[in-house]
Amino acid sequence: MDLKKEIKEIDFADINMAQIFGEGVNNAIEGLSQMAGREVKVVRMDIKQVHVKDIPDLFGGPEALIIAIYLEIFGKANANGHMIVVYKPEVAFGLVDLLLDQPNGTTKELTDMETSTLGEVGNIMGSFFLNYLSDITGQRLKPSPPAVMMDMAGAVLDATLANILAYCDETFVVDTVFGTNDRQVSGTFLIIPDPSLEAG
Amino acid sequence: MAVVFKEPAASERELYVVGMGELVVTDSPDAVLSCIGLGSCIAVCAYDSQEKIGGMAHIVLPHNTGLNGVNPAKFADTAVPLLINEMIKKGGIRSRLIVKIAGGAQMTLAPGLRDTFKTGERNIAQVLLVLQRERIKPAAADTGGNIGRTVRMYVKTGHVTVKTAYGTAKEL
Repeated sequence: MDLKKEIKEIDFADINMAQIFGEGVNNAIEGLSQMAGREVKVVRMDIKQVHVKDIPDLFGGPEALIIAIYLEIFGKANANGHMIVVYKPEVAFGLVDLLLDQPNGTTKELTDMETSTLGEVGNIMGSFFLNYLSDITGQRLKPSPPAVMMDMAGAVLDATLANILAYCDETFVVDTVFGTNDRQVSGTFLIIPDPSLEAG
Repeated sequence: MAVVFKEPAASERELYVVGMGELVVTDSPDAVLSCIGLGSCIAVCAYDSQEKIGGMAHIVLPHNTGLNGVNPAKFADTAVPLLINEMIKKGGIRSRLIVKIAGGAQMTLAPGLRDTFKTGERNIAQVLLVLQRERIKPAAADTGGNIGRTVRMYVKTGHVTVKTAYGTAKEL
């Protein structure tokens, strides 16, 4: 996939960064493919830079229910970034069905089983994403255990993004649609690098 | 007898969304100030019942680190005094202010994460400390826990409501 064609609305200086994140997300979906044991392909990808304040609007406003998988990214000394994968609840349920090989619509709520499945999605996607980033930046990066949350978009995101607002106002957003031949899901990756990661 | 709170008709309310790091003080009677989807953030509401002035601050972090501008409304240590001063500028009187706070949730208890999710706790502590410095005791508080909240203040009456993702609005 030619990511350069997909990149709009970003500063020239950031193109490299956006491209790297796009490839990283591609790699993460490849990981999901291996987890599911069948081909999962990226259908569409849209990368943009968004003001942190506007992020809940991407998911239907701050009061809309979302499911988020959050990972912290550890580099050399401190945390070097954060990765959040956000799904609308029905989409996350569909993803659980896909992975557990159940008919679409089986999962209707988030119990331990579904939470743990989505946590595993976070683990796999995080590791594959970071492998790619490690190769590019030459830094050893590893993910924290995943945290799976379901609540109002504003609440989940301000809890995860509050610390980021201490040093920047914008973040990379990678909107993706991916799936197997018969089922597709859309998810949004929020990737927030610390300044130390960008230096790599 | 306590006045039972009843949400005013849609035609009699004008919603102001107080976004992250924003602060609104108004004496417009139809105004409904609202912080939507608070996680670790805190809504500090102040009300002067005689002058019918309402104010709300949507606080994101406890301290200003100075690394990202100087928006005083974003940080507990500067937002609380700012809110009080703005209330006084509008004609409010410090001793009359009724202050209510809500928010400061810890959205996940997952193990292995560092301090990211302690922001809520730190926000609550700092807001309470600054209020104490300002010699104001909060009249009501709904803080902590691990669910998000939406907070509204009806300026006409000073009522404050809190709603969670799965619940209905309750009066604070």
